[in-house]
Amino acid sequence: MRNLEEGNLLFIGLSWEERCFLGLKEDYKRFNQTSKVIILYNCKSEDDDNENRGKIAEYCLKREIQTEFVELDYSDPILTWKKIDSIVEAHKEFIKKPVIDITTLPREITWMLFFFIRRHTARIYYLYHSPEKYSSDWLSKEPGAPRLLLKHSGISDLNKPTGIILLTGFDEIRTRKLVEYYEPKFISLGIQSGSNFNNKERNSKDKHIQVIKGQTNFNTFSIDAFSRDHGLSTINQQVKLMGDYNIIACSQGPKLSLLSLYRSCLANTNIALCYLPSRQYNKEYSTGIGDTVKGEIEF
Amino acid sequence: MKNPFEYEAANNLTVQEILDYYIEDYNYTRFLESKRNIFLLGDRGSGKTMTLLYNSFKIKYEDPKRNKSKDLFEKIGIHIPCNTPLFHKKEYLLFEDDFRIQIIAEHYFVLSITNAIVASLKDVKEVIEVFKDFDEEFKEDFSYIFNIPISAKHSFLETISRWIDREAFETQKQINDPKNNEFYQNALSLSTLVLPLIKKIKKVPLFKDSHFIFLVDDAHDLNIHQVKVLNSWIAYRDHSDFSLKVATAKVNKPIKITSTGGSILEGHDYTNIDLEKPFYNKDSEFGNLAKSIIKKRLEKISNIDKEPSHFFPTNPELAESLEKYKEIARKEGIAKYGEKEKKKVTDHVYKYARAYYFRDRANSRANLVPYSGFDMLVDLSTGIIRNLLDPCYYMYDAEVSSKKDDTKIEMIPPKTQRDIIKARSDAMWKRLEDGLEKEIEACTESQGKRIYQLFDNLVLHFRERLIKHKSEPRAIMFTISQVDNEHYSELIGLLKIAQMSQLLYTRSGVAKDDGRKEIYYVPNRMLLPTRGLDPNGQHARVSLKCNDLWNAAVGNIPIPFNDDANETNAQAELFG
Repeated sequence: MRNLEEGNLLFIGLSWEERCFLGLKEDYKRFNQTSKVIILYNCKSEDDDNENRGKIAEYCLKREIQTEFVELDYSDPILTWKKIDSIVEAHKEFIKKPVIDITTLPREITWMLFFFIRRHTARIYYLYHSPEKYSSDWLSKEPGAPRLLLKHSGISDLNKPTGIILLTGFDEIRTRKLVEYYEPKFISLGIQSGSNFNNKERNSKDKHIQVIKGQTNFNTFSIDAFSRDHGLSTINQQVKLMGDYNIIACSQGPKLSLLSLYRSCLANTNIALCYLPSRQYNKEYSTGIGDTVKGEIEF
Repeated sequence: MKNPFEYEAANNLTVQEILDYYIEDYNYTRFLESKRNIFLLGDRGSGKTMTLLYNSFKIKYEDPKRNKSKDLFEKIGIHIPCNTPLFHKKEYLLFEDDFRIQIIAEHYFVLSITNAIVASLKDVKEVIEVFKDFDEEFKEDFSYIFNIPISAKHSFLETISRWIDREAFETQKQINDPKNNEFYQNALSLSTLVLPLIKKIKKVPLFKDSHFIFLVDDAHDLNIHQVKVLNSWIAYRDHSDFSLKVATAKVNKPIKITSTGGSILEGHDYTNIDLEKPFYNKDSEFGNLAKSIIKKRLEKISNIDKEPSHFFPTNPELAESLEKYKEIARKEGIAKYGEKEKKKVTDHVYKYARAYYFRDRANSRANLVPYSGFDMLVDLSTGIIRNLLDPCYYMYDAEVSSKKDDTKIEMIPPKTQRDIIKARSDAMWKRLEDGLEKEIEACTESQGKRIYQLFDNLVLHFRERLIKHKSEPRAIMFTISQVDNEHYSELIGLLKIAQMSQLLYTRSGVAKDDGRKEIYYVPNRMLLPTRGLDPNGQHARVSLKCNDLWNAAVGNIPIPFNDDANETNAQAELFG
């Protein structure tokens, strides 16, 4: 087996999506010094006992890459937090070149990984693999209550109202859910630009406005999570405009936007990062694998 | 052009907007100003926050009608919203022992209460004046106990306000510190800060007889540790200086356990008040409230001095048809009971006139019933203020969008009303069809499907009643009978999810058989237009067997219709 001290430590999330295993292969192409893959999975998801698990184990074994499957309960952020803490802590000696494949990791888990890895290194490599296509049917069901990310809940001012920055996704019900849950005085809806994956229709501004109209004040702005800074400067502009609010920031849009939201949260103490969980995803959520985005984030 | 029917959260309204929109209910004011601890129960959108805010000192002081009242300084309402980012913070749950968790939960609560107390008082001119003689003494005392930096520039209340800001900042900074999970050592509690502060304030002659009323809003959002803290305060023996008025949703009501493991008891420690009003018809308590709300909003926001029934006129064809069927029913009643039996004839008209109209529409291929008119909107609201404002908002919005100039909207044409009612009703069914699991926490896909099937069969059942039932054709509420059934708790689980999504409401009434209080269920009446039913309903509850409801939910089996079903006449006093 490879020596942990020399190679990269790669974190991925186990999923039934094709791009989970296909993505790992792409990850390896780009980081062929990977010495260990830590595969995080949800013990509450029956779907994770899938063929990708075997494929990943076999693929890594052939290349003498160590693997560790880590069972988490995604529905319990306290337990998950502690478990991720212990996993990162156990690898702290070898965490010089950490790589996170964010493709099939929930946003909350990715942010937790950022938090703990930051204790040991200021630079993290990330990879994201778009699917070839998304299902045209529903994508997720059974939402849990929105929750603030531990240790990233911002510093709330007792005298300011709540405002939300939401990077919208394909599901406008989630937009409504956030507004109903936090009852913000104002919400700023960040709509992903471009027409990839039928974005213009599935993530149209009007769909989101329709479900919150009358309940709160809102504006919209355009953001490109696939740009060089993943929309960070756009988010920071919004944060500046919302200086009179305790801001709750949530990403439902392209996965890459979690990077810019996280960085904005670190730079602005009035932002609380928010995660909107789901207990069920469509098994046909996505098919195949498309473009890969690779980068590094420095804290 | 501002839409007068916006229904944004009351917490986000300005003082003036609250004064402009709120319709006072003296019954609630009486309860809220008592020294008792009270739980105020109401579904989402029923006006809990507005009621609390209206009774807060901050609003009362600004209200020209009330700011001269002699008890203004005797009952000091302090509004404490719990749906804030501070209350949603969970870092302290990372502590290993419950005791520490409890302490920080209380600390955050206390910071919020103290902040609300000083924020309510510190800018009031009259208060600033009367505090002048005490500022130095109080500052010194608090500085000695809490090590607060003092300055001659700031008054006592200003000093506390600044210190609380700093404490909130320091606590959050430390608890969020990436490098450690250290406990915050300077945590404050009700007895270390809030009660001494109240004692101090009461030293000022103007506040000598003051009773502080903590108006705790959205308690259903609190986590279990926060609830335990709250309950411990409710269980406090001495309530001469303060009491708690806690607003919470009916579903997900907080548990009643205190932080020491004891429990609080209704009657002994607190009283429950149901915020929902009798809402059966246009002249009911809710009907009058609805009229006042709409009238006030039209006047204050749109400068329109019109009766709601003129702003939302009924489609003339609908009005005419209803009159025609009234006449038919009246003649039928006279034929049956004789002209002298006026009450019986009136009852007959009440029961059957609308039923005949909707029956005919159901049997014909005619277009959708032209649902319209203010009374119809009241019926469709199912007694919930937000449900009343929702279609009004969309109707107004539709009118503004279709206009080419800036002229005032003087009324909502019946056609727009019908179209919006249909669209809102369709949207509600779509939510059911798509599955509530898409939006409700703790609802599984299978439960979502069952709830849809249950509602679908319920409405089919109501439709069958409308067409065939001899005595109560328009009943649209139900009770559950034969509850000694293995599926009862699962069925209640489904109904709770429906309640959480505001598709179903509960009320309590007196059972016909034994005079006991019983819960009955009222489906959101906005579901009815899509199926051509009458949202007006009737003073009757259909008794449905648990097993039949379960079969409808699970197997999509129609609920058996029985013309002799054992219905309970709703108690008149409940509905006004």
